[in-house]
Amino acid sequence: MWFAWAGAVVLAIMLLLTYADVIGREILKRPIVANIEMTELLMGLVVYLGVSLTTRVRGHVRVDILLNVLPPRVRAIADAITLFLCALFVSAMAWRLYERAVVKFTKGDETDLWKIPTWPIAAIMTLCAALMAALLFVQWGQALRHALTGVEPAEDDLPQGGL
Amino acid sequence: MENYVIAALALGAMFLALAVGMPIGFSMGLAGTLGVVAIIGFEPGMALLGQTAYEEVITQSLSVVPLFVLMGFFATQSGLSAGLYRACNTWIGHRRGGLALATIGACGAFAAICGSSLATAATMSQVALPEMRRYNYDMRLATGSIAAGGTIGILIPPSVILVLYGILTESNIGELFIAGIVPGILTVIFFMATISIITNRNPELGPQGERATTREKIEALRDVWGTLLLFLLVIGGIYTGAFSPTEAASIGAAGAFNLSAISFAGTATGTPKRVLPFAVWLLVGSATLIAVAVVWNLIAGHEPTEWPEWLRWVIVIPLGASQLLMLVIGRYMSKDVGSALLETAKTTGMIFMILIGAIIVNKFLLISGLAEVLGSWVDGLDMSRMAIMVIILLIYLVLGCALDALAMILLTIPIFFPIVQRLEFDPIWFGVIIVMVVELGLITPPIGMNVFVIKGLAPSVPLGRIYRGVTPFVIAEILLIILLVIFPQIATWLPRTMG
Repeated sequence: MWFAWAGAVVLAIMLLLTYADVIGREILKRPIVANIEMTELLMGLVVYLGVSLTTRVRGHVRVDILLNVLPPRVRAIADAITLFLCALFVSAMAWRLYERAVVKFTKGDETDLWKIPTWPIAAIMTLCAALMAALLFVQWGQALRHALTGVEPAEDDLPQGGL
Repeated sequence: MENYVIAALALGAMFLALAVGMPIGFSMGLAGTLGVVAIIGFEPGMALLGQTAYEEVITQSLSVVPLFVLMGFFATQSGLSAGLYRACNTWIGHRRGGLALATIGACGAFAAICGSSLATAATMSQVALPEMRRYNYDMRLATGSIAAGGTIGILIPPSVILVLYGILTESNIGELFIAGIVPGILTVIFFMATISIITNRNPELGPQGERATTREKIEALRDVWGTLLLFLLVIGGIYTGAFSPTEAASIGAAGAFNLSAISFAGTATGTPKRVLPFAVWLLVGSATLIAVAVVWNLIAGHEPTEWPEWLRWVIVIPLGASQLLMLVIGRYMSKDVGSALLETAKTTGMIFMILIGAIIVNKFLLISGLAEVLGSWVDGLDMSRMAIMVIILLIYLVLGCALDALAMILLTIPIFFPIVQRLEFDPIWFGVIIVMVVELGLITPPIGMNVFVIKGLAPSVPLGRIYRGVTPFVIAEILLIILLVIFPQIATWLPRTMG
């Protein structure tokens, strides 16, 4: 939950920033300098911090119309395959984000106006993507165990802390 | 192997993965990435993935998505829906099927500050269902009108679906919003007419309520002004070109927060209640000043930039003070605020995973040239463009039965939009019509999300009965879609008059 709460806080900051920028520009003729680049960075944080919770509660949108008519064991087999693919895909994403973070760190990439270094943002995005991949691997493991042994996992036996 | 064959195979694999329950965003992203890997090579495919996962997310204009989602969550918590329903009820509740009519009206009004159909249906059934039970309404009519009314949430702006359509097709989000207004109002009228026809045939289904006095009618309007003002500010700002959609979204989210703080403090005791009058008066004062300044500008013919410096500060200081006081109130409702923020973060994550997948597939289909092949295939068909459009809409109708609204738009647009463009249909019009078809999908079996929401809140009503109750509204909506296909101007004339 910690990641998602951080995402909620970042979201609140983003709202305040954009709101203050509009009021400042429309009425005071004083827009907030660098609002755009700040919002860009905050977007990266909101999306990736939020997605950890989405994954955690299995909130990703999927078509379960066919699955619902299948017996649980068959469903678990399907899950075991698809979750593995998902986990691989997100791992690739995390790997690419990691490379970006490294490049940004070594080149000392900064935003245009306020010279905010961008690598910490990329690093947090990498961390979140890696976490998402790890979660998907755990969910895959559960589905696999269910598929192989036929024992249904408890409703929610993911580790509670840390998220 | 030809590139378009690879594309077709990748799409086939994607749909197979979807069918066995792979989350939509991941299926699209994986199919698109692997497709590019197969056509160009491993490195370019991975580069596309990395670029979409980073650069496409780090985009200022995309902050419009979480901000409008947040506005919807604040609006849902605000308790405004109850006030809107009361107001509609005092005005039209005394007619036949009055409570159902009021439900549709309140749904339309709530849609003006909330961009989600599910949220509209959920919040409306909490207020409207108990009332209709009390007056012994037929449950088919009651649940049917809420399910159908809820769908208006994504047509009347703001609309999260239209935002996503705009992002993916690079259409103007502001124009899309404005284009949704007239069809949205028409939907309200069509649904109300449906209720009138049903209850005129069989008055038993929806007994009349008591007639309200004129005084009560005027008093009920008190609950409506906040919603009306916020809608005018957000959508009016977009219409006149004063705000970009992102800025309008931030005003909308902040405004919805203000409204929910006001309604919270109005019922609370202690500090929030004592702070409220100051906050409201400062807010009203600065808003009045803005209005006066704008009117003065209009009369004097000045540009807004020519406001004198002191006037700017006289407006901003009370406004800022009122916002600080609202934050003080917000501190007392921190649980609600926190859950709205948290839900928004979660929803944003969900939306962006699908968006990332859709962008990857979009690029992959461009690279593969499948769109070209499809296009020339469509050209070769011996059919009028209208006939092709009808087929596309029919495909959407079928898909809408099985797919969730958001997923359907993001999944199908990369495939269908190039064809629509090639046939020279107006992208703004297509966006509106697609949203209306998606609305239908929300209330048709087997996957009618709105129907599920109402079933969750009224477990005693069998699912089949809700679907039967929805049927007349489905017919009305189909009629309206046909009307919009014949007269595209219904959607396109208003955006053409934009500032």
